[in-house]
Amino acid sequence: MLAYALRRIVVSVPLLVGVSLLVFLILRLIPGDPAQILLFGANPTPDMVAELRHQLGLDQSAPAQYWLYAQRLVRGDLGYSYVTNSPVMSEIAARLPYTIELALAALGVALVLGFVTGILAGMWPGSVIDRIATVVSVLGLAVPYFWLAQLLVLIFAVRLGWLPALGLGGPTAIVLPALSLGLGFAAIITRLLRSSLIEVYQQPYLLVARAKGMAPSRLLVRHALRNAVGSVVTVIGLQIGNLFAGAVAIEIIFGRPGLGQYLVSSIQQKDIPAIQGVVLFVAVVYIGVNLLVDLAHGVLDPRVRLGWSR
Amino acid sequence: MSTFRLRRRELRRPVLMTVGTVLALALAGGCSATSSGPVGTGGGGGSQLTVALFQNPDSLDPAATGLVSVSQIDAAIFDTLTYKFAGDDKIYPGLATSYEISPDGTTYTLHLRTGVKFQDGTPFNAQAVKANFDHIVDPATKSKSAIGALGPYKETQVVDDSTAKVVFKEPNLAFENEMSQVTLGMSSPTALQKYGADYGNHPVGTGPFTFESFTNGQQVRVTRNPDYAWGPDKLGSGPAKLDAITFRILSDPSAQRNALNTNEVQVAGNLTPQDVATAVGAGAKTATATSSGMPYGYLINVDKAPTNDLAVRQAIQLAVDKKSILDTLFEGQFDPAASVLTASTPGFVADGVTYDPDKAGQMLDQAGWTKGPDGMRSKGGTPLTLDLINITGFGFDDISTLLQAQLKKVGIAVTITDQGFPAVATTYNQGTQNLANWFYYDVDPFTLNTVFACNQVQSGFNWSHYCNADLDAKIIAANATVDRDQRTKAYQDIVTTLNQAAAFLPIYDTKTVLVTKGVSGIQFGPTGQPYFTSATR
Amino acid sequence: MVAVTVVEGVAAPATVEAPTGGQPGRTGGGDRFGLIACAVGVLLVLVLLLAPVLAPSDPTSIVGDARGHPSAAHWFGLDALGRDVLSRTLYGGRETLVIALLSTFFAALVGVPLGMLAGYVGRWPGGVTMRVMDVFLAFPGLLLALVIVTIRGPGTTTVVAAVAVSFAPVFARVLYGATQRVRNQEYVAAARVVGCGPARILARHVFPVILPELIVVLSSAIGWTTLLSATLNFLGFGVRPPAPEWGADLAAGLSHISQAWWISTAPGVAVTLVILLANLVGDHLGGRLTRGGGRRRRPARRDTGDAGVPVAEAVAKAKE
Repeated sequence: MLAYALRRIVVSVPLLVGVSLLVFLILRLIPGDPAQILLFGANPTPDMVAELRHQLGLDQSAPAQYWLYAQRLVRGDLGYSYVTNSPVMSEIAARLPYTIELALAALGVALVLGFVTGILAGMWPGSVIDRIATVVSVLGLAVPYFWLAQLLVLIFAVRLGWLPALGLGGPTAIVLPALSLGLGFAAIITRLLRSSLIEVYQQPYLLVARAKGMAPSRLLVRHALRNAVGSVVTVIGLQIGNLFAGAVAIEIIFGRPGLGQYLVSSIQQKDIPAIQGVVLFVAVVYIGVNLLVDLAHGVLDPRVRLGWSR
Repeated sequence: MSTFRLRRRELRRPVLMTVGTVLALALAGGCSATSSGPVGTGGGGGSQLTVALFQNPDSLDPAATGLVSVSQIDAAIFDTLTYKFAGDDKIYPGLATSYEISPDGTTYTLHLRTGVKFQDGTPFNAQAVKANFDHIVDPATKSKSAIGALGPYKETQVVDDSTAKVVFKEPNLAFENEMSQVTLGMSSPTALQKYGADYGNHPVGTGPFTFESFTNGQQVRVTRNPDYAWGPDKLGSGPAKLDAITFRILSDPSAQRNALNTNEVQVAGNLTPQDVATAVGAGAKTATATSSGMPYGYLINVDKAPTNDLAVRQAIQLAVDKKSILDTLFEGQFDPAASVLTASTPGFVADGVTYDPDKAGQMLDQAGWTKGPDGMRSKGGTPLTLDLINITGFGFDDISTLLQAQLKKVGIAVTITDQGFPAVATTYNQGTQNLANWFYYDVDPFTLNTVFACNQVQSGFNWSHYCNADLDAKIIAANATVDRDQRTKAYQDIVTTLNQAAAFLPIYDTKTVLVTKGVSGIQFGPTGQPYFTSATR
Repeated sequence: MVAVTVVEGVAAPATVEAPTGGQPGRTGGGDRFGLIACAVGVLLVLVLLLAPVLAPSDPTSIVGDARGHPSAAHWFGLDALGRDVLSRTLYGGRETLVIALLSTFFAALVGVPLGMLAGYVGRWPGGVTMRVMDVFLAFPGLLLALVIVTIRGPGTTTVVAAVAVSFAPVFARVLYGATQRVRNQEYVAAARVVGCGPARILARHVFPVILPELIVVLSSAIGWTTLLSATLNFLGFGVRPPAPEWGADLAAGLSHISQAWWISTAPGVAVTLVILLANLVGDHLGGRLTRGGGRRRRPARRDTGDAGVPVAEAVAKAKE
């Protein structure tokens, strides 16, 4: 297990280097001189521009700049925001909890709804419940979440007044954002679980167990679910990145000061260090989470860590 | 001055866009408050207000900030040397009880109010004034907007505790108006020293509310300053009526609307005009203030064909039905503009242009731009086509679309493209466009120097490429005229010249439109920012 | 959120019919669904292509009162400026469709050959190529797209580029895995022995075998690219006004929703419909093309060999 874990971790290193290189390139590829952008409207003298370029390290060669950049990254220094002049790392730290809270809540919604409907549908394929679940999940996958969010606000906050329209302040505030972001994901889990269960139930060993009179609940928990859960775990790992991405629109609609909203406003304000910082941060988290998922898999399923390819 | 600030007032996309914080500051305003005066109902305890704010503050230090939204917060925390109010050109005493201007227009002698204390207990005095102005010009402050309002600052001399002399390198009569800008609000020198670069997160002023907390991206909270007793009479002079204000950051106008509907905020300033109308229909009130500066409109390039032809420029002005545009887009909430300055700006003179498409047609016929079989005009084989370049995400898109339809009726074709800021500034400077988006907030007409001076063509804001050395000299002379009436007359003369040149197509005078629920007594200051001192809930 | 139709091995659609014919009725039902979806999809594409003929008016012309109600003359009502919502929806759909198809095309154009070559050559060149792809896959699709927007500024070509760049690695990943599996089959080895060059082997022997997987990924990619491009437009980074586009019109309509619900409804329903169809068609094709062949290599959870992330996860990961 340790060897497997080490191997997975080592593989992540060149990935991280590649990611940092790509993020570094953002700055190089953006048209216009950052120093000019920063000084716009201040009627800068050429001296001021040169001085600022020096401060920003823009007067050095590209490889030298990357080297500086990489060194700062290793120290956890993501640079300073053009807008607020404060460290991007602290800006991210201030917003991260909101995004994490939203992602976890959405994940909760997805798991609860996805498991309940997925199990019901998978146990009785072809039943009314299954048909409803199938139609709803197919629709759930198709409705754009940013539209769904607005509709939910209009119905539950503005018309009915049951829930707050803003996604912050008070324990019920998270409900609508979490639903908006979590429903599509719930549909994925439903579909996944349903097909896994249907398949598992066809396996000979389960037919035997069933024939021997094993209780359906025991059958479900001990055998069927156990097998199906693996693929759900994998998808959750992959979905974490998408929860972050989905948070972009959701945070704006619900006025949550999370990373997504910060990214969009940074793009609008051409706050390049902030853009780089958020993008890099999310990518690293994403790689990290998937590493954890891989390791969890290794623990759950010996075939994985031994590298059996069936 | 250079209080240039492009601000999306009418946000069409839900996410948007306030653009370059690199640009300086603030929506401005003379202002004619329609909300009730500072009467208020005794200001009982426990009154709290939540105000929606469309931008996350870049810094709460008035000297450093470049954002409009911050002036709303800072107006609660800070006092200015003088005060100006809605639709009122009078200057009211603030932290300065009176001032004298030297005959050459370079030196202001300020007589300061005594007995004033900052919220941290530091006394306000001439040393504090010096510390503040020195702080603005300190490169480490990275002032985005205050430095423009301050002008060609040389130094502050401390004569005695209650007398300060502010000296400029050149005549700077604009400062007389600019003193009332929130960006020139007075910070505690102790706090400036104590927090240094982090002062933007710990603002300390003399104002009616004391800064309590700033949760990045989420909200700013201020609480009542019980010692406040030096406010202008117009704001009730005593402490504020409200106990606390929370400025909740909501960049999305739909989110502001939803939150107002559910009473999660009680004041919102960025609803779509349709939502404003709906909210008012449902019982909400509005508090409005007309901005001073230049109206929303289009700078017409006088250097590029076909708008290098005066007749074409005048025809464009005649052919645009501003009222129809404003009715369609803004539910009539804004007033048509009629000059290079808004109606509430000193020096305003109406251009006398009224909507008359027939006259526009005749003028074009006379100038040789004749209609072809398709109804579009041309002259000697050259079609009458205008290049309109919008700034991406600045809220001009819909106006431009309607403009295009209206000009088509008189045979003028318009090609609309757009480009993002700040790249578009270069394009505008190069003069690729016939029509450029424009608006400008400022309290003093010296603004015109930034927009129409010859030296602003290459790299400044002179996107109309209008260059008139005689006019340049007149603007400089006006800014050196100490007598206010004479100065205003000089500016009226300048504005008349500019109106006749038809280098600008004014569309509407902007207003701050706050939708309020159960709140009264909001007043407005020189940059259109609300004062909550006398507000009650 | 887009369609992660495929989770385990490209060939297993998530609304998979019960395997081994356990529920005969279901299989037929799923197929019927899929066929209807295909038909509706074709019809929709035709309608959008014929927009200039079908649309009652020019999508950017003002033809009536601002926010006019739906009526006999304007079935879907008028938008905030008085433009015909039906016309804008039809033309906007063309825009959306073109973005989705073009970006899918470019993504495949880059990703497919890259993935096949890497999968066929294997060893370190293949490994390095796929590591580079992994770097791109390390960003959620929308994030990568936003980066491109930052660099290029808003616009239709930006959105195409952004969507293509974020989806090309997915194609590469899918084709890499598929090619690797085929590479070691005996008939491929035989072709090699006979002296066929790699290009010929890939084109004649490998490509036809992995085509079904490609088609399934392509069809769900349409749904995915539609959503991503609509999202970018919704955020205001796409087409420039006054051009119509579903995401942009949806956003514009939502700011008037309390006065005129109809402005945002048509584009919202349209986006939903396209994604729905793409998912159903993807499921259908997935079931069809791989029945028989696909069952044999029932893939299990997670491929941990050099093949790295299995296909479906690549698709899953790319989904927004």
